[in-house]
Amino acid sequence: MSSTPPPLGPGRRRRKATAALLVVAALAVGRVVTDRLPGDDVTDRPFTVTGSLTDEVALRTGSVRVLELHGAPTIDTGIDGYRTPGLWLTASLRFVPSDGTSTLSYAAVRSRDGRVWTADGRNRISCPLMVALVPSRCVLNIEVAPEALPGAELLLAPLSTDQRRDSMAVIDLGITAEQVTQWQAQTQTVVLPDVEVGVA
Amino acid sequence: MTTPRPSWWTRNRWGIILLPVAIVAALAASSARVVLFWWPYGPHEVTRGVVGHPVEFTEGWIDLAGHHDRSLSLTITDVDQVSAMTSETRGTVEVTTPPGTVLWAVTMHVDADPDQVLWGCHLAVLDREGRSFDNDFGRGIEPSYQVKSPPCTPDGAIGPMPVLFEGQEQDPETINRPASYTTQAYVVTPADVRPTVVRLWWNYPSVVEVALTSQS
Repeated sequence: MSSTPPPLGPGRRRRKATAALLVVAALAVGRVVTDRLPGDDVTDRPFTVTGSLTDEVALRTGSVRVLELHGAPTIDTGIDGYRTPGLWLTASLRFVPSDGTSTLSYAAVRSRDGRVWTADGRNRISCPLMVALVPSRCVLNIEVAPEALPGAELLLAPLSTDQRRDSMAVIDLGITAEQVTQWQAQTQTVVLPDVEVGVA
Repeated sequence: MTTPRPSWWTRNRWGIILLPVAIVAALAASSARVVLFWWPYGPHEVTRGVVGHPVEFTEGWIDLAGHHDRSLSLTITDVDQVSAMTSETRGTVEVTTPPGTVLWAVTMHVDADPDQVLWGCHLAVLDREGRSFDNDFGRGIEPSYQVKSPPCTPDGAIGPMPVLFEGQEQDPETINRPASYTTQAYVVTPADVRPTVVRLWWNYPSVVEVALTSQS
């Protein structure tokens, strides 16, 4: 013999409706939170460590300091000579790995308006892969539009292929418009120093 | 007579019992990133030993020919600061290292079947703070030709190579490796670093770490 279930009382029906509403509200809140979470363009950004031209900047893999900075239309890398209608920015750096073996293989110049010139092609950073605590002199040359140099920053990171979620030095180069004018007028070729290991 | 309504705890008992299970399952599911992106890329499975005593080490590895086991007995007998490097094929040569650095000779004795592939090993020393100093590419040792690779086999007697591409042939000049041999590897460190551990490995996460208890 079959019997029909008793009809839901008003209290039970209200509880069910409340539960359904809570589930829908939880889903809606979840969607809002998900939509507001930062995307990959934010979560993948490197951890920047800022410094000035005279600072020792501590990265995850070591510390770096700018030793010398020059600009000129013509440079001699020791292997090739390069001329540009713009300016070559050259720098020597002191890099000391902090643990394990590391180097700096990403370098770029970023102008005040956000344009970036990276060290690839004939732009180059040379830095030895060395064990912890042994300082190296690294050398870089990057070809830049002269008007982009006043206020520009030097970006340095361990890997040329991937800077995501790793530390990156952002060094204010302190270049002035007068300095750029002087560099543009320079007729003498800037000779890059040798990369060296163990130098102080 | 109406039956008394069960308590909230009674009505939800299965949900309450299963909640910790669900939390553990959710954590386990999200732990895939640890396995995929962290565990295989560091020295997380350590076989430990002490200087002067053999350490038995076994691990699985893969090449184009399939799965293999690597099994050997390693004894680190000494770690000394030196100025010359000895090679089984080139003899002893005075070398230089970058300014402010010193050279350490790690002497090891290995017992391994000559059929075992020992090519591809890496060696490093660790200091008291756990900082690692490896010997890949010589690290500024001159003359660089004196640096042998790999560090854990005799120079000129590497033994068989893994099969890395189709049609690969073994080198008849280096394939014969003794079943038992003593050799040296060299590591550059800053002058004020004292090695406290020697680490040898082929593929992370498995490594051998030998404590140098006799080192000051």
